[in-house]
Amino acid sequence: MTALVAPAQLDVTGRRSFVTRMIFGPREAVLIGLIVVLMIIMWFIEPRFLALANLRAILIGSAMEMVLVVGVVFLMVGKMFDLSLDGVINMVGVVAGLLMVGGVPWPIACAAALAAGAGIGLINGICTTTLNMNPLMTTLATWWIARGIAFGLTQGISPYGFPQQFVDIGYSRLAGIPIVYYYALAALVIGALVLAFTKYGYDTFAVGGNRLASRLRGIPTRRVTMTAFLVLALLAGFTGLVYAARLNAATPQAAVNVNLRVIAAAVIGGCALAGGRGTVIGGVLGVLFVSLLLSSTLVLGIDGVWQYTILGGVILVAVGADALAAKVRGQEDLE
Amino acid sequence: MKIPEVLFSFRNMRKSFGSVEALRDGSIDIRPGYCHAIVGDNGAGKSTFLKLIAGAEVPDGGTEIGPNGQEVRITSPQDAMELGIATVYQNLALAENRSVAENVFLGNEPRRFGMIRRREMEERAAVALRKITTRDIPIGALVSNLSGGQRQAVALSRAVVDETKTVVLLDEPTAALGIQESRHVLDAIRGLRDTGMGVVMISHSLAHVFEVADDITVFRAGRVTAFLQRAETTPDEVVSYITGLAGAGDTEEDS
Repeated sequence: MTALVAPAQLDVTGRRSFVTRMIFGPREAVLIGLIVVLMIIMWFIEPRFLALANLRAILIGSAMEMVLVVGVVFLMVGKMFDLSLDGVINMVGVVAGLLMVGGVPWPIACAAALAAGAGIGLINGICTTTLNMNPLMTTLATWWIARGIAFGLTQGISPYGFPQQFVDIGYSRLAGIPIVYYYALAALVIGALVLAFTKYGYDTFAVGGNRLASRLRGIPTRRVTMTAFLVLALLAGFTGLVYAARLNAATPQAAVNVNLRVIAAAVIGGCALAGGRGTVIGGVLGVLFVSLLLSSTLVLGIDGVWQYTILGGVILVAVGADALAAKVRGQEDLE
Repeated sequence: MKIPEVLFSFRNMRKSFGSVEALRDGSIDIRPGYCHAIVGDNGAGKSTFLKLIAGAEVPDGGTEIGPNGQEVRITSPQDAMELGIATVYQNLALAENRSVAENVFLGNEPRRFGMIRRREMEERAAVALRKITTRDIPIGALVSNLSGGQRQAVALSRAVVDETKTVVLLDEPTAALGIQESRHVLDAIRGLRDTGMGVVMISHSLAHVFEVADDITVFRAGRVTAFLQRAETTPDEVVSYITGLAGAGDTEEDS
C-alpha cells in the first residue's frame, strides 16, 4: 500500500471539486441565501410581496429567461459572448407571426422562423471561430441586423391573432401547471446534465479554459463554439415564439434588454467573462435573483425606469466581489 | 507481439509559413525504448518539426512511415493520437480551470453513451501519475494551484494514461523548472523510455540532453545537420553542429 493512494480517498477529493465546480458550489449556496434574505426583507417591508400571485407572476415572467440563461452559461463557460439574443427573439417572433397571418400553417411558420434565428446563430459562430472575429462586436452587429429585420418586416404594424394551437405554445397548462414552467425545468435539467456529465460539457469547459490546448488535444473547438451559438439562437428563437404566443401578437419590441438581464444573471450565477467557469444551476438562480430584485424595487415604489441602474449596480458588486476574492487568494499565495 | 525496430520514421519533412521556410528538410527515426533529443538554435526548425509529428501543423511535403512500414499521414492532433503519439507541449497545454484528472484526459475522457465515466477517469489518472512521479498530487486539485514540476507531471501523465501510446513528444520538458523539479521530470523521462516508449524531446539544455538522450539529432536553419549517438559524442561536438562550425552547415557558406 505504499505506491498507490487508495482510490476511494482520491475519489472524495475529485468528487468534491467536480460537484462544486460543475454542478452546485459555494456560489450557488450564497445565491440561495441571498434570495431567502431578500424575501425575508421584503416580507417585513411589504408582506404582499410574498403573496402567491406575486411570486407566480415573477416566476412566469422569468421562466423563458431561465431557458435562455442555460444557453448563455454554455456559451460563457466556452469563453464566448452573445449580445444578439434580443434581436433573435424579436425577429423570430415577427417572422413566425407574419407567416401565420399570411396563411402559412403554424408549424411551418414556426420552423421557418426558427431557421432564420438559427441563421443568426450560425453567423455568430462562423464569425467568431472561422474568421476569429471579436464576439462582442460580432454579436452587437447581428443584434442590430436581427433587430432591423424585425422592425423592417413589420413596418410598424404588428401581426396579431394567431391560431389557437400556436397560442398554446405559450399559454397552455399541463396538469394544471403553466407550460412555460416545463420549458424552464427541461432547460435546467438537460442543461445541468449535459454540462456536468457529457463529453460536450467537458469539451466546453476545456475550450473555455484553454482553447489552444483543447485544439492540440483533438477537441473540435470550432464545433463546440458553433454548437453553443446555434443552440442559444434556437433557444432565443423558441423564446420569441413563446413571447409571440403569449401576446398573441408579434412585435419587434417583445424583448427589450433581455440579453443584458440574462447575461447579468449568468455573471451573478458564477460565469466568468474569462471563460471556463459557471454552472447551469447558478445561472438559473441568477435569473431568479435578478427577477426578485427588480420586482421588489417595483413593490417598494421605485419607478421601473430605475431598474437597470439597480441591475447595473448589482452586476458591479458581483464582478467586484469576484475580483476581490481573487485578489485575496493571490495575496495568500504570495505569503 | 514483435517489437518493431523503428516505430516511426519521418523523412524530408518540409513546412513553410507564408514566405518563411521554417523547416526545409527534417528527418528522424523514433525507436522504442530510446530517447531521441532534437537540439538546435532558435529558429532551427525543431519546434515546427515536432508540431508536424504531433499533427498540430500539416506538412508541405515529406514521408511519414508508421510502425508496420506503411506510409501514414498525420494532419491533425487526432491522427497523431490515434497512431499512438502523445505530445507534451512547452506551454504544457493544460486548462487552468480543470482538475488534475480532467487535464490528464483532456479531450479524451473515458465515456459510455457520451457520458463521462468519472470514477474510471480519476482512478486511471491516479495510476498514470504514479508512473510519472512519486509525489502526491491530489487528483481533484485545480492545475492552477500546482507548481511547475507538478504541472509537468500532469502533462507527462497523458502519455502513459492509455496503453495505446507508443511515442511521446516532449517540447522543452525542463524549461522554466527549478533544479529539483527538473530532476523529477528527467527521472520521469527515463521512466517513460524504460517502459519501451519512444521518447522524442526538444531541449535547449545540453546538460539535460546528455543525461537522458540516447540519440541526438541537430537541426540548423531548417535542416538536419547531424545525427549523433550520445555515447560517441561530446557536448562540444554538439555545440559545433548547432552553431554551424562543424558539418555541412548552410549551403551559402559551403558553395
